[in-house]
Amino acid sequence: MTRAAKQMIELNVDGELVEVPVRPHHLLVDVIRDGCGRMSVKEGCESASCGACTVLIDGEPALSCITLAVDAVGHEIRTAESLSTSDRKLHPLQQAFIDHHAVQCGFCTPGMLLTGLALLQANPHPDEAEIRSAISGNICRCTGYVRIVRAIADAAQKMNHGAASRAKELAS
Amino acid sequence: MNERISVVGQRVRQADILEKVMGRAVFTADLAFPRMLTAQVVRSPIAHGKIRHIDVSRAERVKGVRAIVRGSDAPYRYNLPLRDQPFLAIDRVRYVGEPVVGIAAEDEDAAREAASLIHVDYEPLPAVFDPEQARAPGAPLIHPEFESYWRDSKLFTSVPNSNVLSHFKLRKGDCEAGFAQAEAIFEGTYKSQAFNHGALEPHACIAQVERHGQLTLWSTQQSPWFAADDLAIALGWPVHRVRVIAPYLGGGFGAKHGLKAEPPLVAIALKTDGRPVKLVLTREEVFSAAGVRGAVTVKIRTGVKRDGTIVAREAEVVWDTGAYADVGPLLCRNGSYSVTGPYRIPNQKIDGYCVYTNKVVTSAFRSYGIMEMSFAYESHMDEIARGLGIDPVEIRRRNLIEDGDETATGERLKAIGLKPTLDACAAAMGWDEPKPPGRGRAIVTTAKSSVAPSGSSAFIQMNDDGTLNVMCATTDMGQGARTVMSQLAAEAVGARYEDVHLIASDTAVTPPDRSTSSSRSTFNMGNAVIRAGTDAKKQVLEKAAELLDAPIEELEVRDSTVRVRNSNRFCTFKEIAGVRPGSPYGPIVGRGSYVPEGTTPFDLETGQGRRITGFWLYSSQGVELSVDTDTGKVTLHNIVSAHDTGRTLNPAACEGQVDGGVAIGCSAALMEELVLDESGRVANAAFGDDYPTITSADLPPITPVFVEIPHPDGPYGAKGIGEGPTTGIAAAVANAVEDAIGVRIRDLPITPEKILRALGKLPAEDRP
Ligand code: FES
Ligand code: FES
Repeated sequence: MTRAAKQMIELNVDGELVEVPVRPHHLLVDVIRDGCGRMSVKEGCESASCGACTVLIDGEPALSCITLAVDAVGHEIRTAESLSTSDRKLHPLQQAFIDHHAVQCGFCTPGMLLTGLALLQANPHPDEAEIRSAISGNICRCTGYVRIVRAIADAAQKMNHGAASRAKELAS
Repeated sequence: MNERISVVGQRVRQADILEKVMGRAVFTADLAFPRMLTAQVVRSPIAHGKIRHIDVSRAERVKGVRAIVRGSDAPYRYNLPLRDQPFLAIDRVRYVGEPVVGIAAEDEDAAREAASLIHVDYEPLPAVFDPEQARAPGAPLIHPEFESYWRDSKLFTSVPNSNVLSHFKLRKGDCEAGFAQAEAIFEGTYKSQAFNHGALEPHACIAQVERHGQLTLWSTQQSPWFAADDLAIALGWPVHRVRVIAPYLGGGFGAKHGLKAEPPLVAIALKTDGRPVKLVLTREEVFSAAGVRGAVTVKIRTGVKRDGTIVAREAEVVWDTGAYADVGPLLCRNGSYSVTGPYRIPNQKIDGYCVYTNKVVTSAFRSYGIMEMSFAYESHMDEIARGLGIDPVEIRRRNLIEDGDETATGERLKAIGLKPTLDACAAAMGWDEPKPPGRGRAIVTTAKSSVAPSGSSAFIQMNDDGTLNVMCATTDMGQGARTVMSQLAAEAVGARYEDVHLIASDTAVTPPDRSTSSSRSTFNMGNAVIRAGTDAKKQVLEKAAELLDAPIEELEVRDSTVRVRNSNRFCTFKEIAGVRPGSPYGPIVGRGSYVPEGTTPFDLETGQGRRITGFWLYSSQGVELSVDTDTGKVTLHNIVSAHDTGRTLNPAACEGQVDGGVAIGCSAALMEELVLDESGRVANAAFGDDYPTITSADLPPITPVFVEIPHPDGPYGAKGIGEGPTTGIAAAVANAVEDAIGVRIRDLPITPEKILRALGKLPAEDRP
């Protein structure tokens, strides 16, 4: 086994350009954690079946455990750490997770938040079955999903309401 | 208690929620230290064999490799209460996945490359995978040197020269006479499968041997003190030389109680010259080498009167502990005596056998044997009810233990909330109303003890700004311990909940505690925290009396402020905190400890003991489902999970425990099973299609119900909740399946295939 030399690549993570040394076989999950310091991206299975390593690539959920780091060059990568800039300005989804006790150990939470966000961007009015199906690739072993589903539904309502009232403001 | 209760019982914001929703919570695998090395473990590919030779010469030449360690380099054995497990295999391997060689290297690529170049030469030995075969005379001995292992012989007895490492006996009344009185006798054999905890965070650990000889571990540990003790004893060191720190934990469910990833890593760290070294298990390693819930077979025979009164029970329970003991002897004991169920049975004879096999090790799992037992005794109970033509809820009502009754182990119980949970569950299910067509329904009841003897201790220290640090070694693995302990501390001291901070488990800082397991933390550590809080409050009052120049009796403490009654004089905790010039008072530090009073060990011949646990968990669970008889698919429609919390300290946290516990129970009831191939390798060591777990799409609404029968010793009356929701679901599902389609499945999981076989739509299995 010979090891290929490391090369520098530039990744766009949460709007920040980061230069990291990688080998061609290195996975995005490892590089985004160790190289870019985004420890919120978790590794639960390494086999595309738990959703803990979810990031958004150009707005679409992607599993960073089966994405090569070199393939993410030139794309916008988003992690849960970009959802809020401070604890005073939480994203409505984060606030809903707090309000509904949708978090226990928290290991699945970053992935759930991003999957939830992608769902709400694609479908602002999901019903319960749609939420359950959207997050069915994200394993949560702690919560039985009950409160996560409620939190996403609640966030949808608040975000729609927010959008509606902003639209009203603009119209008036 | 007539004081005003302000924080306890509230749905307060979870203590650690901001870090978690902002993605900033630091888990063990997220930690890195300067000059840290990466570890890899080479594991046995065979189930049983002698190690002839280990060739590391090619691996040593890999650039970046810093240490290669074999069993002979660290010849220690661990496990409490039976020290049978080496850090790395010595001379012999006993299961596929057992650690054999440890490697430390500068990066993962180098460690992996070195691992691939290590050659181990094995002489295969006959392996035994079935506990019935393993305990038969003449079976190959898995631990020929068993007699040389240290063990706590007060806790269990073994069967010499066999693979039976513990034999639990319970003898009560006169079984022969009991069966002679019986008007009907029922018999059944029930089997529970092996499966994995599936905590989403894989086990991880960083180990460092510091210059002064202290071993520090940052580890995914549920029970840091238990781990530190076990390691220190194994190494022959005083316990202060081992420091265990548990960062945020991504789920435990028993998988992270006791040493798991740590021992091979410690063997490596002893050879890395003070450099920290990190091991993160792959999911495959978690499945095949970090503990599972093991398979159990229960044979029950019960004598009853025609009115359903149980008069006698005989049971034989066989526990497959895998290649090493871990908690096997204790699981065998606690589980086996629980095969009585929460019922009054005057005559009993129970034998539990814990048996070695050449398989991945059985470890603690949420419910600690009770899911397996309740699957047996509650399936059996419904079979008795059907046989006698008695309503399943009614037959339970007639036999349930009540205040003052004696348990199987000879304990007289008080404050038993069983009937209230049964009634509440039946009401919430609409038991007395006709069921929807095509549906099956069932309700089960369970009781579970908590570990004893069991001590906890805590400090509460006031910071200079008047906030409080609670130092307790209870690990929050998602169950909400940080929140509840903060609530209890706030309540006991009279502080605002927001002013309380919990210091994470660290054996160098947080005082001794037995473990975060067995649903024991709220009860045991909760009491210790209240005592520490009461002690701190006393000091607060003394200082405030001086500051406010008022007698202590006239002071009241609330919201982090001390007020003089009927006046507007007050001072805040901030003013009280710290050491003032001229003041005779030092910093405020409260300390508290708790050990349930009067718990006694078991008699090893009869299984009797005066008080074998601090408290019991009582629950009733109901399931409504339907079965597609063409496909065998079970659809869950409704679940009611009723628990006697004693007192609900935090409703949101308790509901969360119920949702999650029920979900794991459903998953175990319907789909999860670890499958071994003929060589003893776990064939489905990955989440996904091979090893399905229940998802958001499969679960029905879950209704948590709490009844509160206060425990006289509980913190504000509370009992435990963590494991209760997992205990009864599998039995409830099996009973509801029979209610729906008239077939009885006696082995878990209840898969479509088994249902179709039972319906005669698939040929009977030819497996023995
Ligand atoms: S770690 Fe990528 S899906 Fe599980
Ligand atoms: S909260 Fe623990 S895995 Fe979801």
